[in-house]
Amino acid sequence: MAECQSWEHELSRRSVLAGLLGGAVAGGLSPLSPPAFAEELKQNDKQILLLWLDGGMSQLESWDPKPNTRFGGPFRSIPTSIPGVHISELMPLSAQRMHHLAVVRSMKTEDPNHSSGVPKILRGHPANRGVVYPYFGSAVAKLMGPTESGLPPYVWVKPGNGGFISTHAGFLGPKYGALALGNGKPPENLVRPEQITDEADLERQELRELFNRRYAERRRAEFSEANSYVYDLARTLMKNQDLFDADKLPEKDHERYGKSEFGRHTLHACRLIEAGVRFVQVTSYGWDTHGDNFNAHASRMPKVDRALSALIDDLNERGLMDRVLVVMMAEFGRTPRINGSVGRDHWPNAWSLAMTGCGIKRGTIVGETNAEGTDNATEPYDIGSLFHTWYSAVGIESAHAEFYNGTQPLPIAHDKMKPVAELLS
Amino acid sequence: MFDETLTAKRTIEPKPTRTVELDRQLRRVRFSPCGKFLFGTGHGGEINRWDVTEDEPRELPQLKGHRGWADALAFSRDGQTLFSVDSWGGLIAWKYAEENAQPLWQNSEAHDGWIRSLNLSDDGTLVVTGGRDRVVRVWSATTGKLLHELKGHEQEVYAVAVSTEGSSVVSGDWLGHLIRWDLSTGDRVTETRLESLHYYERDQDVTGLQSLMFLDEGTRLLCAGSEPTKTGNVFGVPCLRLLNPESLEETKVWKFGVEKDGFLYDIARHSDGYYLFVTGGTPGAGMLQLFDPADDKPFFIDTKLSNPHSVAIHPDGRRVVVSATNRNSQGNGAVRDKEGNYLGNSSPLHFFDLTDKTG
Repeated sequence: MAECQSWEHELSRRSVLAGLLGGAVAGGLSPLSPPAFAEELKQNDKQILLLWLDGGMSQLESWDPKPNTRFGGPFRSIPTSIPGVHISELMPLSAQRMHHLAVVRSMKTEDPNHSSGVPKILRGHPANRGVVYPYFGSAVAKLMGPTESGLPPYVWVKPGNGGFISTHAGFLGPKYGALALGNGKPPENLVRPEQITDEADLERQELRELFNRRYAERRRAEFSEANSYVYDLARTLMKNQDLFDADKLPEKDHERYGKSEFGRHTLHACRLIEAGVRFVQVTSYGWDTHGDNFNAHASRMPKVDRALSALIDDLNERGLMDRVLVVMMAEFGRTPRINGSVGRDHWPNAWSLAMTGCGIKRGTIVGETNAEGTDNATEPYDIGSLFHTWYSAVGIESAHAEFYNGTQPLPIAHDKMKPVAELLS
Repeated sequence: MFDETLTAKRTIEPKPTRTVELDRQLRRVRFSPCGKFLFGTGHGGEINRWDVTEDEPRELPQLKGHRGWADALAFSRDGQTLFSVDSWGGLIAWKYAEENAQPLWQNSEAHDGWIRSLNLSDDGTLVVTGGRDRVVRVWSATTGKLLHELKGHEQEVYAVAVSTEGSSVVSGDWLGHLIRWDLSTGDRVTETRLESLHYYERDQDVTGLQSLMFLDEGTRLLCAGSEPTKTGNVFGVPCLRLLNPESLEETKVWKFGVEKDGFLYDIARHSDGYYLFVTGGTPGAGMLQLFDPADDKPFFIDTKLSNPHSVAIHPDGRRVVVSATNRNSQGNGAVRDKEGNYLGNSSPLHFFDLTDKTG
């Protein structure tokens, strides 16, 4: 390697911190135990891309259509590349690639509200242990760390503002928060001013480290560590400016993914994954279609369809399907019942999500709803089972791996649930 | 349309006479030109039918043949034929008055997907449709034969109207792109884009276009819908736009409410020259309004209706029906009856008599 990467310093600092915490952490191990397992995870090159449709995509206008039924809505279903399986006509490109996907049609979760439902789903809704669990991306950042690329382990591509979102990390501590790229743009003022020479920059870095040590002396370890981390992160970003700027991506790729917000952000996410970011989340807002649900989905679904299909093609063409887990979901689905505003309301009772990539048995449909989509007709799955499934898919033994909150060992996923075996290859 | 002698009619108000509860949801209601029947389409492929010759509507066998949602309805000028479309691309002509009415002709693939709009020429010879496949098609009303296929929209066609003399068609799409077509050549004569008919945010297009209709011997074109202001849980201000039928330029706009009032879903012209229309918003908002275009504001507003979607005037000029929605139709999670059955919503039919409040 030509030069020393900031993440190497970071990893080194983590080792030191782990040692410092030895007296406090059970058995003197790092926060993830046992050590052999932690070492194994460091070697793991698996990555995760989460496509989050915030507000709740309708299962009836996507993965689980019920055409020509009381609640089926106006759209047709179309055949897919899996014989006998139909999805909504709003997803013709995904239908052609269905053999690459696995869909769960019998999700049953607990919470019908956005404010509490979003964090529950993104945390895998573990049993209540009196702590705030990390979001999926933060959990993976903690469990697997950065890849060899040294790039930040958890990047969130989203509309609106960016920044460093430490709240996603829960009890893991702010360091495991999300680096949010608002509108696919890197944080502002990333470019080093031209008048600062390499020598001057080095001196500035040494001075910052001195200040950092002083800062650390007066604060709890996790805060000083997070503080250092953000600076290191900024330096990493400065070295990879083009990677964090969606506008630098080729026009032909924008065409393939679509020029919608979701298309641009999914393309950006794919390139971040290619470059080695461990976990990337793409968020699309505005799916809370209490009004005008069918026109909303007629407008939105083709954009998702195009981006998802281009992503599947890219992962296949670049040989990344066996390295990257892709999940597309929301906090719940939408009611079969159609309200007076021609909308559908919140529906955690029987909804769908989709996945593809490493560890997943592709071309699989798991679960079934009844004829009108008003109940699950087969075994329902809670999000905890899916978190076990996804951890297994990327090589994490979720039944045994634990987080540590101080001296308190905590399961990484709901300890009463287990992976959905049918989904795993 | 702008006849000031209509002033006397501004004392008209709709008086509720009865409500017929249904177990299903409707999108469109229309009386037959003979006045004997009421038809309703909705969240199913059936066309509902009632005999309205007596005070109490009597439900008749449904017309079956559509798939998805049966949607727009129109009658031939001789009053003998009913035309209907559906969300799967079907177009059917019915001899509707027969007890077990069968299609005169049908085309289950008139469009690829949802047919959003249906209109007839004044002479009754042409049926015009526009839909999700972005195409406008013109059909022979008597045979169902395709006569013209008009391509040029880049988004789905939401509304079509045939000029009074039947020589041209105006169509409008999701983006607010309006095109006037010459039916003798199939050429685009005029086109424009009304920005206020389209709103885009967070990957969602919302159209403010619901319907187009020619007025006053084709000298004016009325565009009903909304000025959309928000996506997701859609908001907009219901409005009517008056357009120059040649240039398609907007000449006047009336707004009927605030953002939460949503869309002007349906409009009917009374033979005395004023209009009845219904608006529906989120959540549960809805109004029936009576409006004389000579004014800036409606002369009657009923705000008691929950999410109405359609209004129709009986040929007698007295009776009016509004299809609305049951109260509390919104709600997260499952709504079940005592036996545990999952409940849907419904569209009560509200009947009114138009009465002069001055006696």
